Amino acid sequence: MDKEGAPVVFLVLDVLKPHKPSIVEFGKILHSKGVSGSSISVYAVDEKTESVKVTLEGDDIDFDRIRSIIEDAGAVVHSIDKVVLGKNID
Amino acid sequence: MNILEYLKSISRESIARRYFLMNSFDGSLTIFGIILALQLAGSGNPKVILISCLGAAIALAVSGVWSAYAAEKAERLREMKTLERHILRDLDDTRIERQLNSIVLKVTLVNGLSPFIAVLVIISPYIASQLGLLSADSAFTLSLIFVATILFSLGVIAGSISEDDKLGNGVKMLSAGVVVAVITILLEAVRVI
Repeated sequence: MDKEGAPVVFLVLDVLKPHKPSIVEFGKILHSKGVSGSSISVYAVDEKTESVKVTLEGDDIDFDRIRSIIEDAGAVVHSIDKVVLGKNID
Repeated sequence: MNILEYLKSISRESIARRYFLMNSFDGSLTIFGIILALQLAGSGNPKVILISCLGAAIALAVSGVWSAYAAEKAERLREMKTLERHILRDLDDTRIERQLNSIVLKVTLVNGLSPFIAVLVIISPYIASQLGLLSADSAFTLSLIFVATILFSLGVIAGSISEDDKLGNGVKMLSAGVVVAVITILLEAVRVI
């Protein structure tokens, strides 16, 4: 549960990552505690990097933890595009 | 991760497979050349051969470790720095850096150990001879058989990697040993050595 209030249940991130790890491996790395489902899609490919949209669903997503996992994989969060907190908005 | 899993993970690295083949081949031919030359020069004493080959084996292993570490580390760091420029961030202490270090370590181990192990196998008959288990002549014959087997096996492994003709590759590798033998014998015959 988020210490400040309602838990984060849905998160869309714009991430720039190297080609390795692949999005399959990247998804598995992101599938940590509090995340029950994830979707990753590539929307731009460069020579050494790719831009991906990461969509995470869960009952209590810890954003700081997710960001540190992303950074540990050599990627970087460009922006947080959508967030849903609590249970009544889809 | 146990040793077997670690060895499997090494064999999945194409660069490590390449170094394994190249350096086992180098080590085998180098030692074959030394053994043959000493034998032709009339220094078939197992102790002399053993010391000469061990010296060469240690030099090959140390050279393999140092050269692979320097070359691979430089190449991989260059790759990481290129990636850092693209992703606009420092990649120190990330999975990428850890994987880089792991590959460098694997390649270094393979580069240093593969010629050393090949040499140890080839000179094992001379070790047996030193222990009084084999005659010097038998040790020579057996070490030649080991050289031929290793060269042929390396060819078969190369064929297996490339999914090509394993037997043909084995014979090609073996023929390198024949070339070394013919040149060394010719040099001795014309009194160059």
